[in-house]
Amino acid sequence: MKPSEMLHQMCHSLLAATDIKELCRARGFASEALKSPGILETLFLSPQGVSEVVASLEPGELATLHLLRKVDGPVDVSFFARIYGKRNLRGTFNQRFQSVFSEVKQRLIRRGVLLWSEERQRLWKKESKLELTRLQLPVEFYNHLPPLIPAARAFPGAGNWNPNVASDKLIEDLGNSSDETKERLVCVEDGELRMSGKPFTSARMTRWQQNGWAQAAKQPKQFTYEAAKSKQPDEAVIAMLSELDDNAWAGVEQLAEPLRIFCDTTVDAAAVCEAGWKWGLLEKRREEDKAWYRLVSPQDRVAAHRYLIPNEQDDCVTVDLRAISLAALEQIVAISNQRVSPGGNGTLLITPNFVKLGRADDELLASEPVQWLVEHTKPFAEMYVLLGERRGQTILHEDIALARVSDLSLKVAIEKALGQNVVSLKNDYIAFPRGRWAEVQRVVKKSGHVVKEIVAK
Amino acid sequence: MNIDRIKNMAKLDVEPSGPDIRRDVHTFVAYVSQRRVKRGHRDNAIGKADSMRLAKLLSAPEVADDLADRGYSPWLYTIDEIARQWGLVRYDTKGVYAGYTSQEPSFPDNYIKFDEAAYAQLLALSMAKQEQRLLAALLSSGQGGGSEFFSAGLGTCRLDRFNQWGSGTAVVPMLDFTAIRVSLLKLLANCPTGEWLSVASLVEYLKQNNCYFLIPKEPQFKNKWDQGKGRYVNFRESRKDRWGHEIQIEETDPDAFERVEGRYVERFFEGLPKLLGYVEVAYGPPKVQKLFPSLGVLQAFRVSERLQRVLSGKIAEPTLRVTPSFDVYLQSELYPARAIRELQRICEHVTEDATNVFRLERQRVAAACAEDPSLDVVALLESLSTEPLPANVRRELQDWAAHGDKFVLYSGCSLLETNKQDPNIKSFRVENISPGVDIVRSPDRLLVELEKHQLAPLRVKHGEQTLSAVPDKARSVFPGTTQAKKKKREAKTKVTLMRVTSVQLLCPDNEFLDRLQRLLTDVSCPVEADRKRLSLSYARQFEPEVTKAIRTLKSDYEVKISDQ
Repeated sequence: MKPSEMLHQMCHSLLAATDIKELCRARGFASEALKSPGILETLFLSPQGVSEVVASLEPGELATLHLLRKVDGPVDVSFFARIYGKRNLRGTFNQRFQSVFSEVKQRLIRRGVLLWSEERQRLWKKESKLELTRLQLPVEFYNHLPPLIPAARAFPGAGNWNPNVASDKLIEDLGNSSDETKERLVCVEDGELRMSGKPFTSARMTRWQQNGWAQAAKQPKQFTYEAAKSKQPDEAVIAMLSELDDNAWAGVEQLAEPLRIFCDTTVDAAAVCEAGWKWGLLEKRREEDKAWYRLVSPQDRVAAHRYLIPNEQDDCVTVDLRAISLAALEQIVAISNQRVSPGGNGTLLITPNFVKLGRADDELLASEPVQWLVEHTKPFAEMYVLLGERRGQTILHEDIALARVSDLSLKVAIEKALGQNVVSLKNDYIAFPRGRWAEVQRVVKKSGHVVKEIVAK
Repeated sequence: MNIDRIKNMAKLDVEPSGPDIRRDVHTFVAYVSQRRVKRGHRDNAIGKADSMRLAKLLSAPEVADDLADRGYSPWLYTIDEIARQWGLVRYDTKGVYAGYTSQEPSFPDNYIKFDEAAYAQLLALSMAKQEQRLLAALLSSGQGGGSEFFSAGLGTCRLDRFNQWGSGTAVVPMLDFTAIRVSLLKLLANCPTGEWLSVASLVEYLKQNNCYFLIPKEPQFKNKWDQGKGRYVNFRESRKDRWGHEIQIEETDPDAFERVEGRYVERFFEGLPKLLGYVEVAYGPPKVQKLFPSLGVLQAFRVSERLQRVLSGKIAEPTLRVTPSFDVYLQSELYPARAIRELQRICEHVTEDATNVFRLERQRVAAACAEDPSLDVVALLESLSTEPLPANVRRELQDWAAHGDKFVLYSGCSLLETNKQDPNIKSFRVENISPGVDIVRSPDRLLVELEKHQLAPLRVKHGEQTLSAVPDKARSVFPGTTQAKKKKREAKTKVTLMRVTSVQLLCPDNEFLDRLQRLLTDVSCPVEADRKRLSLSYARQFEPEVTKAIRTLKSDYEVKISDQ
């Protein structure tokens, strides 16, 4: 159901007179809204009174609204069991959540913060009214939510970061390439650096770090209502810290309550954050005898000459895996062949690959590591020049319709019908978008011609 | 053969010719070949929707009525069965027992499959051989309880039948109705053609000359129980209704032959020979029926020459004639399925009868040639025609055939632009447009091949509705990014000009001008007065107000308006 439909249903059929009265009082609506559901519907999404109402909510309620914002859609009543419910696993849905809904109605609906609607009964499943109840935070109220961590502090300077997690893993796996018994995440296969059998990308490496963090922060399995809407501790910490301003840091104790709401279970925030720091995804600092965390801030770009060393004897370039950033490594891998340095000293040897260079887009070719390689190494420079000569000389057009039109009047009629979306080729051939075939067919039929089709086998 | 002629046919009711089974078999096959026809999961019958569509196409009008009344049409069933027997269509007839306790088989996803090769083989046969295949199929169908004694034949049958009660025992199951029908057809072939003959006389002839043509003199019963019951144990009459069976026909009855064999002959005439157009039949005047089944109702028959030709295998092939006005006349004794199939590709079927009339159409000829490049329309018509084609038709047909090449679409192809004539793309080439521009197949494999040759190919994927721009540096006939942007003209400033047509009245004096101006001001009509020129100007849209004001002034003035 769309939010506008939810609002209409709420104002016209679900809210009782008492609810409307309470809502208008909380939001400070004029008395006209009391009389007319239409006026209430119009006023509800206005910013009037939202900030005041939201400011008066409990921290747990605020955290729930922040989670609802992350969900960005309607949820059922069980979602609010994390703040208003008891862990009661017995009884029907109504028995378990009736008290939760009463609290939601009292605390959030009557204060004009949530949209409330009832889904239509489905033919194949008989559900109670409470099961069909849906609640949503309107998009218009997102900006009125106060910060999830109000006591975040700003400290000058950078924190302590563990930058070598990814590079250590790369060096560890590539350094032992001769040991075939060892199961490796990263390896070089057919001249290509691969991660779990797939081409190396920085996003894939970051995902590996996140998985490591998720494993380290894993909580004992507990029953949670609406498990899909609850977040894993690592996801919850990332979601919460991503809301912080620049230079702002969150203390562990500040994260504890929102983390409980986000995960729908009690979580050891200190352990989770520590694991995040160990996996190189969080920055940490100690101030006032407390640990403060934030997400890793974008690192300063490392100059290409710090990690790329031309090796003229072997016509290749050595890549220092300790110094290179993941993004730069991804760019280099995308245009070259790689092999592990024989010394096993955590370096990679690269040589240009013309096929990969041919597939590279302009942005990749203009990137700093690629340009450095072109300017400072002979093999890359030669390939680049060759590429410049050949690029754009061979073009393969796909998803295009091709036809030969021997009748001039028919050709003119088609060109008139398609305008700029037809290209005349030599010897009566034309090319046009495949989606325009129906139009062309109509023109052909109208002019009394027939279509001869040649199918490529 | 001495069989009585009937001289006065006035009192007899001649049955008109029935549906054309030959045409319907081909119509059915054509329908099935063009559609995915699924048979019933439980009954393995053709579905209702397909049956209703077929009812409109088939020549038997009773199909639609049968489907509406009974939900089942014997005619459609027979046509379907003949097509299956000939191997033109295939489908599961055994089914599967869905569960351990299933009483009947089920037929899940039982689609009718059309066998094009078998159909082509059938069409390749001569008309006589096609007819013999049809005759053989019909002769062998309907044995025992399904024979003419107990079951109504195909098409319109007026005569009622013996009660089927007990027909599965004693004499009837032993009878070879195929041989009986063949012997009767041969007998009919010896009858004089084109003359109305008496059925009673034929029965009498059989009684005298071949009285055991139907039931042997001493039938070899399968068990002792039946042996003492005689030859006519299966045949009983009734004076009450068609369901009764209280009168047992005995061999000793003097008219037993007429009551059993005679009834069979009547019902045989009404079946296969009438259906295939070998005989025509005539019924006696209607009477109140006192004996069931009826006897002596079908009184006369007339043998067609076609029967003799069919039995001797001398059915002529269809003849075709093309007129200079592009009409094609196809004449055939039997349904010329092959010729009609060929002609329908290139002509409009105007009239369907003993002589089929077609009209050659340019678009159809062009479409057929486009679909099948090996098709030679002139050769096709000449192979069917007995006379040479008119010169103008021949010339036009050649033109029309060339018309099919005016628009050629290359499906599933891509376009390759290159500055090299690389021999390695030969295996991917569908058509060479110009040096360096080719229509190619298998773009993915080709791309790998081009990359292998270090050609750094650019892959341009075009949009569904618009062509994508190629990079500016690329050498292509397609518009580049900048060129594409240039083509988008800047939006022009929209200006709406109001056109106002004004009328000027030149008044004779100031007084008239003042009075008229006052009157117009009273009715809020914007008017511009020029006292020097004694003129009043107003927009044309205020014409009614001005006319009204002038009409008011007419009480004091005689006003005449003249245009300058």
